[in-house]
Amino acid sequence: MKHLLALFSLGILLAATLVSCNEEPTLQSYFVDKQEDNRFVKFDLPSSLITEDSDLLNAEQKEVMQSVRKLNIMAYPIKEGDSLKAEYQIEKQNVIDILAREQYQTLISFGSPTQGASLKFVGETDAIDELVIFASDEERGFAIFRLTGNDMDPEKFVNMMRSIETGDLDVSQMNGLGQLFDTSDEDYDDSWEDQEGWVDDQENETKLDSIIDEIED
Amino acid sequence: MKRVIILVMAFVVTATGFAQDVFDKYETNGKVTSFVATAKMFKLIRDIDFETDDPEAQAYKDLIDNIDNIRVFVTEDEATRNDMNTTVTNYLKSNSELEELMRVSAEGKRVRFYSQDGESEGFVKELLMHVTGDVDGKQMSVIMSLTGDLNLSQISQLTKDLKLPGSEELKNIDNKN
Repeated sequence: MKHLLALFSLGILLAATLVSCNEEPTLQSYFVDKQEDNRFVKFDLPSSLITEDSDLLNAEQKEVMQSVRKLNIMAYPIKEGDSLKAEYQIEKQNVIDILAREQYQTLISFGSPTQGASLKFVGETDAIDELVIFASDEERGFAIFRLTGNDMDPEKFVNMMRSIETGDLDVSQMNGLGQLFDTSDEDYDDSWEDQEGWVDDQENETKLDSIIDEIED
Repeated sequence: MKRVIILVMAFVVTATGFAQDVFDKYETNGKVTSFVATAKMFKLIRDIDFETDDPEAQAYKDLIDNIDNIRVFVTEDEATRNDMNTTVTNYLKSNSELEELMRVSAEGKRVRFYSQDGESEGFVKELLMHVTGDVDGKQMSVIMSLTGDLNLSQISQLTKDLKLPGSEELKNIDNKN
């Protein structure tokens, strides 16, 4: 009886651990939480805008594109003379804590006392469900790029990129992209793009990319 | 008895889940410049399978095929330097298979290499480099850890291309071996 009781309480303990794990915030819930927070700038791009009604992709390429659900970008720019750097640090730490969880597996990361960038993913290396780039700069702010999908296979993407390079795929016909930028202006305030912070976050990305390139080369 | 076994198993499961490497803390330390590329990254690169005609790129590809992890930590902060030195000392103590491969003292800096022998001649499972002292006029501590099935002569090329301190010393590693 005693043993049974011990087993039972152990079971409850384990169950409690599992449940509490599930209650921890994910990047998804963080994005939802901050949807109305105007300290953040957000950009969402559903992949259907690119793939719908497109005749220029063959069946296999369509399948590749359909494994992508959407791209979310969220940035926290530090404004000129920002007195709220403490708030920035809190938000940055929130993101770091979320990304430190086991499900977000690191591919590559770079850090210095003032800057940082990391590339992480959820899933398996040939079936990625979520790809996350997190970049931060103590002067300019931080940005999260999040590509979600279902079993995205990097190998297939690379093959598709190759067919673009070799001219099998004519990207000039991708009017979906053009439309996207026309419509996005209407309901979306893009003034922040002109800010220094944004551009530099992009530079961070390039930096990360070049590190990756170096390794790939 | 059953209970003990279950308890032990529960402990093992949670412990492995939280197992952290001794150097991981430097990634988020705030005083350290770090670079980490994980086994998953290298697996992904291997899966993509680049084709190349360039012999230099091919050499890299061969190297990547056998690397599991790269980690580099660099700091100038005094407290962190001391902490790093202690961590390396403890790490070497706790891992008796890591043997000193080479030690160089020149121009105010000390470079030490430790390695764990791999399965074949000229290959190592783990290579640990620790640099302390004056690097380019600054007091620094540098830790580089590589794991995998590593060919030493290929690694020296990589560290040279990444412009890591200690790469000059590593260049001669083949001659001394």
